Amino acid sequence: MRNRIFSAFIVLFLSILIILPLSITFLLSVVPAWSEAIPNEFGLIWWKEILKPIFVKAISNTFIVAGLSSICIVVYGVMGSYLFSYYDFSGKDFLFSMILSPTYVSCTVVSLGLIVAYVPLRNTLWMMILGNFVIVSPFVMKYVHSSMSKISKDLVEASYSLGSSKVNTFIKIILPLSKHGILAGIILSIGMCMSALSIMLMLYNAKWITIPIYIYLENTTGTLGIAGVFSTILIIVTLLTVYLVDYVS
Amino acid sequence: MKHELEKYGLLFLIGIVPVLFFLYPIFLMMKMSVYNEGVFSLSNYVTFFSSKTFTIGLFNSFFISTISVIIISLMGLMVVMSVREYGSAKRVVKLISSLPMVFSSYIFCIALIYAYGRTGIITHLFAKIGVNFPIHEFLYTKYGIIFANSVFYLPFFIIPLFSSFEEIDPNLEEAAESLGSHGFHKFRRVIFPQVLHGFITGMLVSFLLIFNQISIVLAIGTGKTYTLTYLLFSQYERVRIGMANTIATVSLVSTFIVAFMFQRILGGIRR
Repeated sequence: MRNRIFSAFIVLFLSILIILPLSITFLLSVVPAWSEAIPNEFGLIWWKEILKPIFVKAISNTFIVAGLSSICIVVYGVMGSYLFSYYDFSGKDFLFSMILSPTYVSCTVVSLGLIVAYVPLRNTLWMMILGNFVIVSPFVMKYVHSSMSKISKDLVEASYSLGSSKVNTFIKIILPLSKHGILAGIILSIGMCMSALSIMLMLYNAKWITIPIYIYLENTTGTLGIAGVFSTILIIVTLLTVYLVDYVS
Repeated sequence: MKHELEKYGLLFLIGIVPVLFFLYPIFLMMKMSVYNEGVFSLSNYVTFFSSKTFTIGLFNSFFISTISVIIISLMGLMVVMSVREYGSAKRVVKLISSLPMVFSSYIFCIALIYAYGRTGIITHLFAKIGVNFPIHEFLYTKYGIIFANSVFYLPFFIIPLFSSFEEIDPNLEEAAESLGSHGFHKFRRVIFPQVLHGFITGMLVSFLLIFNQISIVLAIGTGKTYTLTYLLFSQYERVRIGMANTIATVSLVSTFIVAFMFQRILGGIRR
């Protein structure tokens, strides 16, 4: 009984520590005026404010950057997972570690490296997509690979021995059986690309300001309400991401 | 023959990506850190190691990461130990733990400031009922950064630890209990040695993530507390690319040394 109470206390403690600050962000988005941290009134002024073209642009930019990045990330993740799950070659583990290594290197270091190496792409949409691709693709590949490698090799061999081509086997056997992992990878990729600030910090340009960059700029210039609205949008996207990844995998 | 062609074609397509977009940029960056106006020079490194700002940044990076990891590992162990036997509690903890994986650490810090900062809602609410809530006094210091790191990166430690605990053979625990081993003795002699690998792996992952993050320092450090990644960003913003390359190289080498040390420790632990 004592252990059960302690366990419930731990769950409550973690919830307060992680969820409480996030709910305060939501409060910021629905309180137009404060008096000593106590809301004077509630309203949707800040939410109406984001319908202005400048904010709509930031939202659409976020979806465009996250969408285009995710297409590249998922295609690469699926191709890579297929290679690592169904082919044997020397240096396989080394290559896999190399692909995963950007996960443990600072985003600022990766961003600076890309800026130094690809000067013509500096301050373009392509550089932002490239940044997302380098940082997020290892996470997605890990997800898709863990799902694809669980498919029975006998099933794939049976398909080949019945005369099915590799492409056909990939489309009709491997893809459907690893769809949960791929779907989780797509959701994870969109979620991570939409909320990425560290990657975008050095790679963004004025034409392609995304929601996280806007929150960073708003926070330094001071309109907390707008930052609150954008943060809430990202929190909703994140919660949906977590729920959907948990649901499909 | 066709099979081989397909294999090597795919291998080339997958392998070329980290070479072009990770190794090559990093090699170029390291190379540029030892060139000054086209001439080989270590002047950037001399400036780095003789400057108080940069050495403090390096020290802060190690100090903040080490203390955060110690707190995370103690808290994480306590959390996992206390909920591992209760399925529903474990599921809730796992779900909460997965939030920071996709959540922006910058927004999380802004949320922390709005909650516990000087003008934070919780700070004010506590003040109104006469409780002096101490968090706001150290939130904007390096201890505030440690606090934010400890909360945000705790899940990255908890998740591998959960996997290690799930691999423990329950018969072994029962055998220990039937031989009279209980409580802390059972934990120290039976459970902990079995999860040590996951424990150290969790420490390594958390350390590297904290050492290399910038968002939390950017949001809470407010320019007063700085780490290597923050200095890299500020040098880049001031268009001092040579120094930014040098800081990036020092950061990479530090990351490599820490990862190497942890790998040596992991190598010595039997799974």
